[in-house]
Amino acid sequence: MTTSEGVLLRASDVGKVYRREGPTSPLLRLVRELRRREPAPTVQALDGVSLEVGPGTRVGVVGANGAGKSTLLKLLARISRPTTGTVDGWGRCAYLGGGGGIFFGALTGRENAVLFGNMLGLTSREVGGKLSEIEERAGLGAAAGSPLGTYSTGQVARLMIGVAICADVDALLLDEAFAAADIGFRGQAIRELSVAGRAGRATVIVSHSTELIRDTCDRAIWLEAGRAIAEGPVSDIVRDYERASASSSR
Amino acid sequence: MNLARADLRSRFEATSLGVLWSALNPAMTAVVVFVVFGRVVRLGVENYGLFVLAAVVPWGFLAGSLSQASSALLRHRALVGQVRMPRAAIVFAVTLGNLPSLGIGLVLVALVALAQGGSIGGWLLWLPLAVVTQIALVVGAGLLAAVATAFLRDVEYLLAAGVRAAFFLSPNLYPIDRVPDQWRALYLMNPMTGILEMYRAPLLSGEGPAGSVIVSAVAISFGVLAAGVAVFRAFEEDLDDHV
Repeated sequence: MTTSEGVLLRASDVGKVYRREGPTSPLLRLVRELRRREPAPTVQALDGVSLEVGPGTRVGVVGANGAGKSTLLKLLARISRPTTGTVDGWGRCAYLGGGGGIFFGALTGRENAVLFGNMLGLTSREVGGKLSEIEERAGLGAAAGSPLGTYSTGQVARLMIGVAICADVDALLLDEAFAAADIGFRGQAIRELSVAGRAGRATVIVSHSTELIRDTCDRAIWLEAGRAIAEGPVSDIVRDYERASASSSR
Repeated sequence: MNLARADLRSRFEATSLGVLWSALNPAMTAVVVFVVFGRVVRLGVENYGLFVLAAVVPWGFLAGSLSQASSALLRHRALVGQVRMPRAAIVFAVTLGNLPSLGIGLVLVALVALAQGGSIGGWLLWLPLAVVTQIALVVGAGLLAAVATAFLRDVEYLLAAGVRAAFFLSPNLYPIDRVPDQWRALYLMNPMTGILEMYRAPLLSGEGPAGSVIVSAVAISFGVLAAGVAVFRAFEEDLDDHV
């Protein structure tokens, strides 16, 4: 693992702007813009957010829908390019979104595990050596040899998390990755993450479950409308966020 | 390679015969082409059935690969949006996934040539250059098509129409010497002209194509590959915003 001054992931004053209209045809957009004589509407998903994640740290990201949590994670994973600011990363990182859309329904769970391991930078031989461990951690049992199309959403999530935990990545970025997993697996995954954290692996977790963030993380960042409202010890940030959420819902 | 296998199996997921279709498709095309152009339609070209068959097989590789490459990033948008990986690998995978079909088609071409009492020794010597040059062209054009489709969805349909037109504008159904002299230089700018000659000339005449035809095809194909890689790299990090 290579780090820069004890930092694995660094977002410096990042912003991200999306077009509100989504990926429609640029020709149609051009015609609309010319007719309106004004630029297409955009949405500022992130605005001037900075975050550093060091080895072994576990950072939770909290905030309401549309606060920019997933966008921040995608920028940290360098899946998406920031519109402003910079993102730097050292070492290998894995981004896990919910739903498991990255998997192939025609392939067995075992074959998908090998493929996903390849995507995380492991050779097929390396993943092959960890397959029994992955299957055990994901708790798939006999289903490991069945096509993924027959799996429940929860089983898909378990497989994805199982591979990511077994892969020797330096940073795990979890975007509501536990949402579909059952309570038993969630507890197991949290225990695994605690061990992984102590072994030097950084983890950043986006979740609407403040309980999960509190149980798993030691630091947290609170986003609101694309801006960082607060960052600090997880207990303080989650407490303030829960109070703010409760008062705004009254 | 695992991604290519996965993509291939996904494409035939709901079918009864599965990936066997990748073998049956070129086989059925070969039979139809050979019967129609070998027995029914003859343009005064010697051994016309084999002449057309030896061109239609590699053309099928080009058309199929470009069609799948143009929609590859959209079909695999979850990989684009959730995994940090070289996204060009997705385009390589769908292209490589068509190689078994090309291989089976070429085996059928060889069997037909042998059944007619021909020799395939010279053809086998030319085959590696023909296949490598075509892969360079297909991957390069596929990368360009994939990026263009991500930004402008219409490209997928424009490309399908363009490839259909290019089939008739390339010497698939007629020999290059039937093309009037004033159009010949334009034809040589089409890399498929030289590639088809590399696949076909050694099989039918026992000799390779002219050196200028080969140099032109190889240079343009690898130029397209270089352009495809450069353009893909330039836009790779913006793909997540557009697929």
